[in-house]
Amino acid sequence: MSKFGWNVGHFLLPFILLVATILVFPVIATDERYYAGYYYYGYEGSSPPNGVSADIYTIDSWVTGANFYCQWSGVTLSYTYHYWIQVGYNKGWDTNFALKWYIEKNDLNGYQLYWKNSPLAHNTYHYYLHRASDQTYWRAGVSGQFEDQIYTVPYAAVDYKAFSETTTIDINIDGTHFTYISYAQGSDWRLWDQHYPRADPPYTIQEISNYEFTANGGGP
Amino acid sequence: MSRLRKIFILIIFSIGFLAMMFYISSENNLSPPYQVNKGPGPGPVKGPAPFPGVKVPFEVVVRAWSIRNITLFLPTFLPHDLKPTAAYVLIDKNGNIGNVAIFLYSNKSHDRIETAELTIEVYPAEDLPFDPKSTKGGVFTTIGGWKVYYKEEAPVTWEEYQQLYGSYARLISIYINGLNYLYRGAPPLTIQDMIKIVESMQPTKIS
Repeated sequence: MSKFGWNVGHFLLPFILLVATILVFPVIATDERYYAGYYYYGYEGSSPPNGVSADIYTIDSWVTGANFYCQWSGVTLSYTYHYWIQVGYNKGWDTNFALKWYIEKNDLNGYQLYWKNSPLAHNTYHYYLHRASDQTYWRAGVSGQFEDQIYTVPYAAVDYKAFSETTTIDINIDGTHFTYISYAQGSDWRLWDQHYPRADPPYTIQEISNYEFTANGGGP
Repeated sequence: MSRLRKIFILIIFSIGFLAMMFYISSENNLSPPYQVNKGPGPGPVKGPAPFPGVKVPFEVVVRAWSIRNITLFLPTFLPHDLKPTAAYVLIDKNGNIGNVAIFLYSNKSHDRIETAELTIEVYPAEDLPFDPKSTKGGVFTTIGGWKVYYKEEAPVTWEEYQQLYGSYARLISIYINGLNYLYRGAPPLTIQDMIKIVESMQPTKIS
């Protein structure tokens, strides 16, 4: 190799660039969202009940790139401001592709995300959000695993949800199973007596009852 | 070309490339954490699915709710040439109208929840859903004897809203007869405009 020719050093920099690209690329997350699940939505009644809960089976799907999926039960605090609180599990680039529980809220005081421990794949856990009638905070947790008290502003529910959410249709959600989806009336838990379904193609849901559904679809 | 010059060109290229990657990554919405700051205020936030309601004329909601003995109050004063554009509600298989409704007003014919200049989200509530102990800032007061909370800057994290109006809206919540009316007013609406709008609320009548 001549004194003025290309040597190993010249190839080192492009190599570093390539590595940097691989490292940087995962934070270029997608804007897309695909949902499959139930809204509760009260057609009648004087005021929304005091919480939502669901048993959610933990699927362990293949996720690559800047993507994730999560399955959760949640409370809508405002549709027009896009405020909510939810508890669920997540797998994706944001959890180093491990399964992780989380509590997330977005409200007048801002956005907050609390990562928790890891659920075991192929196990079912009981997720809940409950607000006592005389309180302005939500007890958010997974039975036997963790529970936090989260203040939200506003504190009252407008609607409840139980959903599977992905950032790409390349994620397969076969095996998704939500059951015993319930609302709280005071301190009593009652199975949902109504629901409004949503499934964004290619995902589909099978509406077993007002309080149970399975979902599947997606994949490379 | 000298070796030094080649290295210099490669370094410049590297810096440019990395800067470009950083720019691209910062321009995209991260998820989660879902939020990226773009200037003052919170950035857009992805999250749960939006309201699944269907668009109907205001009168459809007024009529359906009046049958249930629910009296809807709506403003009679609208500044900035705002006009009603649409209401959103859920309608079940039997044609029943849901008990959450979102009313939209615009002077540019915006008829989507994310983009309308003035929105009123109406839903059943036990009380004003803002608590002085856990709510930072804003004002708790009464208007016409009704409990009211308002705040001049309330974050709105819909991306489309932010592209049109920025990160904040004027928020007023007023509790009337078992219903909470949550107002969202986009700039240039001021909080004074919003208070006047709320002060003008009257029971709706079926024509």
